[in-house]
Order: sequence, then C-alpha cells, then structure tokens
Amino acid sequence: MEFVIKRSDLVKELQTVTGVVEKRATLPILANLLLETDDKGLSVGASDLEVTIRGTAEATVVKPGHVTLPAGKLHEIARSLPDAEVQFKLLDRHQVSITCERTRYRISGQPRDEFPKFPEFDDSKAIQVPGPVFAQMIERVTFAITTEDPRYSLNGALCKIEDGSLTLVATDGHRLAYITRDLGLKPPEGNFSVIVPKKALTEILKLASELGPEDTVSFGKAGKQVFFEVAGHRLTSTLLEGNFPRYENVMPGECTTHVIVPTEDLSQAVRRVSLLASDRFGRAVKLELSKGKLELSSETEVGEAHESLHVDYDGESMTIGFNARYLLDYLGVVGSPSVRLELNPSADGTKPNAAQAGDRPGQFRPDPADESDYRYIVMPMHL
Amino acid sequence: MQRVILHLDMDAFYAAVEVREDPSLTGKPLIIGHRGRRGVVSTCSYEARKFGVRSAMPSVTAERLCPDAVWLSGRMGLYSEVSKRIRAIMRDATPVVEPISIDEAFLDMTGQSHDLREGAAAARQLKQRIKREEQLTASVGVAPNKFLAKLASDMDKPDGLTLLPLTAVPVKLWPLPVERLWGVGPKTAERLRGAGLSTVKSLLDVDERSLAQVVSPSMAAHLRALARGEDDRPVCTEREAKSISEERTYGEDLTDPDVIDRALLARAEGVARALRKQKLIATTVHIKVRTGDFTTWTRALKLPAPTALPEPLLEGARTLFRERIDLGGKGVRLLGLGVSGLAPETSAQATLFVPAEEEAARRRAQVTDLIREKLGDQAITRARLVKKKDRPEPEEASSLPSVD
Repeated sequence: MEFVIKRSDLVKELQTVTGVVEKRATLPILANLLLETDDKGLSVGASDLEVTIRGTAEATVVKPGHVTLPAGKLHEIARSLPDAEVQFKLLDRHQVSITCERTRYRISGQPRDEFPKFPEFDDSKAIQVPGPVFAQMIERVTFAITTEDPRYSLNGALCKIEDGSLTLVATDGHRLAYITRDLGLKPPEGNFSVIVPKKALTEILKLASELGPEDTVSFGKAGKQVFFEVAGHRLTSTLLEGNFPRYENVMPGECTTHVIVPTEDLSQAVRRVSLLASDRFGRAVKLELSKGKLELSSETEVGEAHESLHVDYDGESMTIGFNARYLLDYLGVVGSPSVRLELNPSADGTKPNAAQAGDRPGQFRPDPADESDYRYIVMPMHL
Repeated sequence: MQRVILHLDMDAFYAAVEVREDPSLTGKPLIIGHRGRRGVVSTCSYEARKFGVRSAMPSVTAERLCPDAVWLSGRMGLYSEVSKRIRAIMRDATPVVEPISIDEAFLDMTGQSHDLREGAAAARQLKQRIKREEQLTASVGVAPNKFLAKLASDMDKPDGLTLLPLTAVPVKLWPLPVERLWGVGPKTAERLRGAGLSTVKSLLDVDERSLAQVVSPSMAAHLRALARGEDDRPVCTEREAKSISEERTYGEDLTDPDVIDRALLARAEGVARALRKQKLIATTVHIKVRTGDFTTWTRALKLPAPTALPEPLLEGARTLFRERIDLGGKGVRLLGLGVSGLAPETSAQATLFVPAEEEAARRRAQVTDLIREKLGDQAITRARLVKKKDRPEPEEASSLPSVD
C-alpha cells in the first residue's frame, strides 16, 4: 500500500472518523483505524463493534493495499505536520512510514484481517431524506437522551416513518423531545420504527456539518443494524432493543395558558438566575407568569436571584419550577427567534385548574412555527 | 478576631433525667439499656461509671461489673422533650447553636462575649439556668474553636466548666493520645502508632511530609492543624439531618434468610416512614450488619432515584446484603438500614413515566401513613411483618441508640 494525500485532507478525514473510536477500546484492534487504498482512492474506517464509520478521502494511490494504524497517534501526527503532501508507505511486518517534507515517522500497525467486518446493506431499499432537515431534526431531540436515571436509560432516540412523516422522539424520563415532519416518504419496505443509539446520532450530526443545502441523507436497516449515508460516509449502528416508552400518553393535549418569550432573552435569564439555584437534583429555576411579565427566580443558602422579562400575557398568575439545564439544552437548539411556553395542559376529563400548573408538564414550541411539529415536554421540579 | 465557642454536654443525660423523675434513684448506680444476653448499655449514671460501666458496653458485662445497678429501658420521648427545652435555653444565649445530638451542642458566642473569659461567664449563666429550670447539670468547654471546646467540656465532668485557650494547648492537648483528635478512628490510630506516633505532640515532632507517608496528605495537614489547636469549622445553626437509620440487635443470631429479609423490610418501612414524616427524600441507602463475633459491615449504594418509599430502600438493601457482604455462614447479631443524601421532598424532579408499581407503592404509603396517624402505629402493617405463632419472631435485644 502506498498513497499521497494533502495534509489538510488527511486531518479532515481523521477528525471525521475518530469520534467512533472508543477511548478505552474493549479490543486493542478497535483503537486502530482501517486504511485501505484501491483505484477509487483512500478509505478510512473505524469501529467500536456497535457503531462503524467508513468514508473516502481524496488521495493519489500509488499502490493498492490495506493496514490498520493507531487512531490517536495518527491523528496527533497528522495535526502536527506542516501543510504539505504526506506520503504513506506500507513496509514489511505491518510497519508504515509516514513522510512529509523533512519529517519521517515509522509506526507499527496491525493487519486488516483482525479488524471487525463492516455490516452489509442493500442500498436499493434505502430511504432518502433532505440532509439539512434530517440533521436539524436529530439535533433537536438528541440532547434529551441522558442516562442519569437508570429507570429510563434508553440511550437512544426513536426514529419512525409513518404515513410519509418522519418522527424522532427522545426522553430521559423527565423531559421529552418530539419532532415530526411530513416529508412524503415512501419507504420501500413500509413503515419503519427503530431506536438509534445516541452515539450514532452524535456522529451523524458531526458528518452533517459537511452537508450542502441540497444534499440528501439516505438510510435503511437490515436485521438489527441500521445505516446512514451522510456526506460521503457510511455510518452503521446496532439498533437498541426494547420498547420505547409510550410517549403518546404523556404528550399534553390542549393547554390553557401560553406565552411567547424571545429565545435568547429567556436563555440568558435562565443562565443568570440559575447561578444561585441549589443543584442537589439539578438547578431549579422558578418561573412566575403574571400580567405583562415572566419572572425567573432561584434561591439557596447563599442568596437569591431574580430576573423579570416583559411578555405579552394577560391571564391568571401561574408558577412552575424547571431544571435550568433542561431549559438551556432546549433553548440552545430550538433555532427560532422565540419560543412558545404552554402551561397547564388539561388532563383528560378534568377541568384545568391554575393552582395545579406545578404538577403538570410544560410544553415548549418554536415561535414562529416552522414546517416541523416540534415539541419539548418538561416535567416540573416541585418548589 | 478570636472566636468564642462553647461546647455544652449534658451529664449522663438519660440517667440524669430518670433520677430527676424519680428522686429515689439518687445516688444509686443506674443503667439505661436493655438487660439480658444481647442487650447493650445506652448510658449510665456516674455512680455506675465508678464500677467501670460505659456506654455501648454489652449488658452482660455491665451486670458483672455492677450487679446492684438499677436498670431502666429508657424513654426517648421524654428525653427529647427535655432536650428541646434545653436547646431553647441555649438559643436564648446566642442564635448560633449547632446541636450535635440529643444531649450536646456547640454555641458560637463571638460577638456577645469579647474573649474567652466573658465566654466562661456566659457558660456559667447557661449552666445555672439549666440547673434551675431542668434540675440537670451540664459540662461546658470554652475555647477559640469547636475542637478545643469539645475537648475542654470533657476535661471536668460532671458539672464542669473548662477554659481551654490556645496557650494551654502544649500542656493540655499535647500529652493526649492521638485518638483524641477529631477524625482519628481506631484504624488511623493504629497506623500512627505503628509509625511511633502515639501522642498529639509526636505529630508535631515529625514534618508534614513524613506524616503524609503514614496517613493521606490531606489527613496529615488536618491532624497537624488540630495538634496545634487550630480548627476553623464554623458553628452551623441549621444542621440538617444528614442521615436517618434504624437498627436492631437480636437476642439470637438471625440465620433464616426469610427472617433476615423480613427484618430488612421492617427497617425499610421504618426509615421510609421517618423520611415521609420529615418530608424528606433520600438518594442513598446503606446497611449495617454485625455477626455474633462482632465483625461489622457497612455498605451503601446510590438509589436509582430519590425516594421516601420502602420498596426501593428494601431493593437496595437486599442487593447490598446479597452482593456486598459475605457472612461466611455466620448469623446476624445486628441489622440496620439507613439513608443519606437527604433533601426536602419538594425538591424532586417530577417524572413523565411513573412505573405502575411505583405509583402503587406511593398510594400504599399514603394510606398507611394516614391510618397510622389516626389509629396508631400498630393499626396496620405488612402481611409479611405480622407476627405469627408458627413463624419465629426474632427477639430484639436493643433498639435505643447509645449516647455518651
């Protein structure tokens, strides 16, 4: 194997794929990247046995071949090299020489046959979606996947296609992010419902930063595996098994109260007020809605914090507490100039009651609404 | 500014209260605790101490040392009533009172008293008022910090008043064994002794670096500061409960797994109920197990979510008992269950999906609390905890916490 690659192309490719490599790999070979050259160019792959990634980089192939090299060292070397052509040459006993201008490295690799196989898929059954739309949908739910409460440690998001719409749902038991959009999809194998691990979603988001506005992403599944074709890379992942919680049951119906707040103002206020919030179970920030204003406050032994925002509201006064981080997570990705906070959902059969706002979830939506139905449902913190 | 800290310690508290209630006990050796093979001394009067009786001593030993002692099983309700009134007296002296147990507290008099001498005058008044209003005596230590104050209160018991200024440290503190330093338990003491360090003074004779080879570096710094008589811990007025626990010592070692499991359930019920009564939730559960040969284990784990329900506590306790303790075939003499990481129940994060069994447990707890409140503690219990003729009930030898 022998090839020449521009240092910048090499660094970019390594940055893209090394995220999949586990810091503490279960098998030594998993700490390596697979480098393969053929007439199409250079392909770089990584695997942690559950998630794999493979992409091609522009390179001049002198001699086809393959080897695996330690990901961390390779990345470090590539970053340190001057901006010039880098030559890779496989020597005997899986040693590789890396030459760039007056610098030469020789590092030990391992043969390809020890590297895990990449899952195979039938690309003709893939579903095509607009890339940037897909990426935004993922970004808008992935933050809600956490593993703090083992009772709900799903560690993945539901990805579902039904009647032409794509739906993504993520929850950690305390909050739930839901987004659905009619994309007129016609999956070749009918409806589709899988739970995709958080790591795969995070890697897709990384790849998506390379997407142009017109690019598409395609994906599909085979058995317990799912694949995503994003920006010249193929990412595969083992699907999570188990049942996704019955999220439909906790989605609020009609809400009696709503208020529209500028995203950035709310985000700043939450950030400032939460500085004095107790963080025993997450920093609780109190929201008090009354005529013309939304007041945020917090208190601990250290002291208290208040901030008041002007809002267009003329209804009953209402108080609810939220974990500040849950709010900041959402406000960071919603992407709309304002958010609409809906409180006091009417439970089935019971008449909504202002005093109970603190027991029922709050629901956030972007304002103005966009093409997606995007909701973020947060359970309150009792104050 | 030099601080003026008082440590007030009631003398033989439970015993003194009993004597006050029944003057015929005056001058007699009195032991509070459960008599019998497995009983433990909770506390005792000074007359009994003369015979060598001490808190936490097995009752059998106490009976041998002092065969004529009068035994009482103790009345916690009464003691805590008296304790509350004494705390009120202390709060009249200064708002900065930190109770550390039912019968002792720290008071920060800085501000009211300009120096230790004025602090001692305030201490004298406090003692007089307690004697006048409660007919009880206390020993008080007056010092520039908590560590020295506590040490001082113990120097002249009962009914003592001891001033311990920094200048007295070489004479009063340095000759004492290292165990007297706050934070030195039997294990640390053993390690220090092994290195030839047995008195407080010896810790200052070696440099901190070599001390750090024997104990951890932070411990080394801590011990040397204490040895110099330095301690900057503040007197904390709002000392929250840090943990709640319940334990029982049994007349016969428990060996039947079902009996042990029922004992854990009973403790989980009790602790969970105490949590709910105080409107708290806990994040960590721990168990304490002692076998007949006095090997003791304490093990803790973090709960999946903060709770005040018995079921998750029992679940955690069972896991700890099963996976983290190897009894080596021996029976259980003492079994305790406790919780820590406490927070007000209102600080909890609500959940979207409440598991059906959790909802059922919550309702069950709500109903039993209500019934017990109206009809008394015995009105309702779990079927598994009902005493049955054909199911041997472990005899409990002691349930009073021991206090010195």
